[in-house]
Amino acid sequence: MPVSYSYGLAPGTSLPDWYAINGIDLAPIASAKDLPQEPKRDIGGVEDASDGSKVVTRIARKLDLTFTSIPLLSADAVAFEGLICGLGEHWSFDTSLYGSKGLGPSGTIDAIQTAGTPKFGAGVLRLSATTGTITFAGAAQGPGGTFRKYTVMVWRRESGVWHHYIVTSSGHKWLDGVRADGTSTTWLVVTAVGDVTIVNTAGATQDYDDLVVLPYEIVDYWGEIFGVATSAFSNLPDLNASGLLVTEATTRIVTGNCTSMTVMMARPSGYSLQRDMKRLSVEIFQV
Amino acid sequence: MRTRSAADQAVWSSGTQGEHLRVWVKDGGGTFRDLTTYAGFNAVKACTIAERIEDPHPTADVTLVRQRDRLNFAPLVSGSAINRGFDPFAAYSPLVQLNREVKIEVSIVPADKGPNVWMEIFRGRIDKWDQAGFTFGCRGLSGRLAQQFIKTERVYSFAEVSGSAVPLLIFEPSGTYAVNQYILPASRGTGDSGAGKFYKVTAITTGIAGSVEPTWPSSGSVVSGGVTFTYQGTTTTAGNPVEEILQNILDDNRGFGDGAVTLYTPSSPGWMIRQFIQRREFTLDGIRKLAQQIGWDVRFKWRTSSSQFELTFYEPERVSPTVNAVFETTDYKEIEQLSVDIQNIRNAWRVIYSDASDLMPDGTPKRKIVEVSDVDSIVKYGELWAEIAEEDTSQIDSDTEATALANAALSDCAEPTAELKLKLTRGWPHVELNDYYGFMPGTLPTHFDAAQYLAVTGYEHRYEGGKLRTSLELRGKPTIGATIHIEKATHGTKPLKQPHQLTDFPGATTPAIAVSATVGGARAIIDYVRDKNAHQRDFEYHVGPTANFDPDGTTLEAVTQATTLELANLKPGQDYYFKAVPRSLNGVRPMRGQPSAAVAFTAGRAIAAHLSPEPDLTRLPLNGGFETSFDGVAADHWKAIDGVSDWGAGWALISDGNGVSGSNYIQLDTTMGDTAELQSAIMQVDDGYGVGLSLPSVYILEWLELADYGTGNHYIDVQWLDDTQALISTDSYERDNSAGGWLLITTAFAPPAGAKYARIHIRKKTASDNFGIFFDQFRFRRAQPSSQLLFGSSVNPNTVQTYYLKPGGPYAAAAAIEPTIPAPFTGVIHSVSAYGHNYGGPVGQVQYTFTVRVNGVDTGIVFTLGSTSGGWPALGFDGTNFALVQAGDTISVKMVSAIGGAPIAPADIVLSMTLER
Repeated sequence: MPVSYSYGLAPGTSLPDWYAINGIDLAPIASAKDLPQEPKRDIGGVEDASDGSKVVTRIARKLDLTFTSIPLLSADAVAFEGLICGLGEHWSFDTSLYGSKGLGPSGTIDAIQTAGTPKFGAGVLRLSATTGTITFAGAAQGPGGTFRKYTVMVWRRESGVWHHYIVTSSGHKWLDGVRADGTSTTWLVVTAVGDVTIVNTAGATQDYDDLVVLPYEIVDYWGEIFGVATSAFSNLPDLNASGLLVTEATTRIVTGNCTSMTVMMARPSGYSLQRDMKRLSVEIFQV
Repeated sequence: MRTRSAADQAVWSSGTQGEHLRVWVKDGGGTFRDLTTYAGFNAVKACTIAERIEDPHPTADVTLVRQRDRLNFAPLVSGSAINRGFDPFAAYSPLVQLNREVKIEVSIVPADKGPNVWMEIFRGRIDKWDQAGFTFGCRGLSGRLAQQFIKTERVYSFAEVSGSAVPLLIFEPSGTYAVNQYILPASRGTGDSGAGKFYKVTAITTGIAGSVEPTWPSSGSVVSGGVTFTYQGTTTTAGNPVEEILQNILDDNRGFGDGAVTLYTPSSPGWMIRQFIQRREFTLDGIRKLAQQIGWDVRFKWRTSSSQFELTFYEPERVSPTVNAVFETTDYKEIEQLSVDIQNIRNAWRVIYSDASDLMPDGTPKRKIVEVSDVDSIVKYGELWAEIAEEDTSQIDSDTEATALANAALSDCAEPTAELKLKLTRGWPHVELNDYYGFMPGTLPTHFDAAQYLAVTGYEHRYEGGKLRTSLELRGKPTIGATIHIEKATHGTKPLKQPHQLTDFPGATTPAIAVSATVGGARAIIDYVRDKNAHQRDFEYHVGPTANFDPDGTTLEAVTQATTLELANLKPGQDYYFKAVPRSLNGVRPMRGQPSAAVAFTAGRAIAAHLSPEPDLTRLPLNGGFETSFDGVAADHWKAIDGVSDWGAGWALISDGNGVSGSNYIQLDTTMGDTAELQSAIMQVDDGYGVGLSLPSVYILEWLELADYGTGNHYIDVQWLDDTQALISTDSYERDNSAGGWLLITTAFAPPAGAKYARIHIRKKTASDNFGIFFDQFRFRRAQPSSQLLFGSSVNPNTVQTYYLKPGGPYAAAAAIEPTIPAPFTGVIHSVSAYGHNYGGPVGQVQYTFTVRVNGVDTGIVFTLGSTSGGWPALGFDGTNFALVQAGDTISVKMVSAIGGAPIAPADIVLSMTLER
């Protein structure tokens, strides 16, 4: 449940998600002042025939969403912007070692993609015993190749059981959705330039699945949500939308953008006056 | 039109539809990848497919989203997962790459529905890509045929194996062959060994044939170089169906990596093609020209039964075409063009052709015409006339075929009705060229008020933003394209060449070559009548030393188109053998035929009849009397060598009859300066030593000269040359020009040791002198012994005294009696010798010196006798010096004794003197 923002469109804590992106409900940050819009977009067309009549050749209607957020703490604004814009990369390991944006390993030792017993999808990353290593150069770099902060999330199969690890650049860690900063993650290395390396020094092969590398630090309450996900992370920059506004039976694949940030001073509840609060203008398109 | 399923028809009837399109590209491993899903997102932004009746194939242009982050379709991004098949360990192999196979499918479904049944509407290959904007362009499957160049000419419709036409390669000397190729001899004129036969390569060692064509057997095999050719049978003349030949051409010219293309002919035109050579061009051009000759089309069309595009040879449905579809006003948008242009209308056609079954006496087909016209069109548009003149070698060689061609052209060009261009409101992927569509008018007529029926000449599908839109271009009835006929009419058809054929020399029993001797050579005449099927260009003429010589570069005398050749510079009297090799060019490649049998001949010698009777050949120098002149300007064999006063300038040949020897003589005009020099031909001389003598020879030079005007001196030189004709020395005789009248001048010279040749040289002494002089009758000869004079005396050696010996004998009294040289005599005293004899003792200690005198004057002939003890023969002689004498001269010998030692008895001296002339 959202803990930081409970004063947006969904002030309560027991309401179902309104419009969640990869499980993170946007209701707490959506401003009720500028009402969210849900424009419809036709794929295909309508033509004027020679006699002036309209001929429809539509194949789909797409449901988009635009809204403005409430003022957010600067760090949280960065996290929400990154989430909505689909920053970072997701490796499903279903068919290859390439990520959802095309980043492949820059170096491997005894690392393969194989069917295995995946947590989600159809395949895993398998590192051989003792020597297995895989590096994704620059994986944690943000747009433009700059590296500041990161969050790495991955499922790791230990003794036949999948465990979910989240590690951020400030040392916050979650194991299976439970904050556990003391967890040992020496097998996961993020270098000063954003290269992400997973090594296996154990005496047995080690499988990994659903690697997600984000070039920002998640808001802390997201760890509890991501850590217990029951489906794979979205193939960034595509996002999985769900919630009340998503009326399809299945998850809606969307892609988002923050078109602008409005900077303002505010004093959120429980905080002193913040001079770097930000409001996001968000557009979300059905893919 | 492509077949429409019941579902397709139902969707169309609904008035609305949904349209989906996807593009597949084959990757390096041969797997088709769907560009709308392969990268995890739909990369196809837009796609255009177009085809026009004039063009041989459709085109497709696809615009892609180049990349999403690192997922990049750009072929030069080697790190993109797409260019490595999503395998980081795989080799770089761009997906979007030239020559990759592409297929484009559409799915037409009810509106708002996802794709259902996919329908392939394009298949071809990528021809170009452009990373800027990221597009790639494709041509249909025949694009490969348009880039397959026919590398080698082959002959078609000329031979059959098991009832099927086989292509023939024409034999080329030193050509490279592979097993199972069929070969047509180049030498196959009437009487040639290769006439009417064809062969198959059954074995190879080097695979390279010999440098000349072999003699072709009537059965079995022949080996030429490293290739074995085996007789297969006789060539055919009936021809083969055009579709069989089209398939032959397709099979023979596949490029590396190209798959087989099988021609589909729904119904045969029944057109038999006779022998022809397929010239070097692109395969597609070759097969389209053949198809279009009878007004048929060949292009890739969808074949429902096999569910694929196949190269289809078909005739457009020109007569009463079936209406494939009728479009209501709601089906098409505003009309973009509805026009008629007279430019591409032709309603009266004449076809000129050569009738292969009606020949003139010499075998040339008669030229005939077929004329057809469309009366309705002429009434409407006026007569618009065109003519197609088929080449002599065209496959249109009968009335039936010419009429078919004329009617096809007429049908395609006579009635355009109208040229209509419009867009349909919905995608219409079922369109094919030559579909015949109807368009219904609106309730309130705009452009027409009755349904218009027209044939599709072009279409374009454009897919973008989830919409497929089809534009149509239509005109008249189904055609192969009016402009194709009109281009033929304007420019004529391209000729189909006859199979390349060389004619060789028929067998040994029919000599085709006559060789007759000429001086120092021979004349070869090839009895050759040009075969109208042969491609004779020229002959190689070879001369060798033996009958079985190999005609190659060392024996080649000439290459010429002439059938007569003068062979020169052969050794007179030597036996030689002659061979001729016919040659030509097949395209740009030289072809050599079978060499002729060797013809023996003997190089000719000059006979006396070749010599002019005018010069005095008995004397040197040659033409010394200046009687012959080849050009009337210069005296033959006399060379003006200064380069300034050449013949006709410094030297003049005068033929006024005033010469002494015959009628000609020459004049030296000294105004040319002192470099005016004239030189005779060289003459062989003998210095005397070369024949084992110790005496030099003496040569006498005589000539006539006549002073013309002025005064001055000139030189007559004798230049002595060695065995290499290099100058050794020059003896000069100076003459004063002042004397008048023709004078006979005689002088004599002794050649220096080593002299083998001499020549006469005439020159002026001083540049500033200005005079004219005539010369005639130069003679140069070796002096020969003529007579001998003997002198004798009894002398007393005891005193020093001078004796004058007289001729008459050894015992004549001592007295100064000097003999007179009798007339006519001009010559030299040469070889003077003396023998000593004493009365009472040896000549001994007394030495005698003898000096020969002419007209009382001492000459240079001096020698001594003495100091030899004993009786005969005390000997002394002078063989080196000589003195010129002539009639009237007196000769004497001065003898001076010298006392030395003890006195001795008187002695007799006998002196012998040889006169030479």
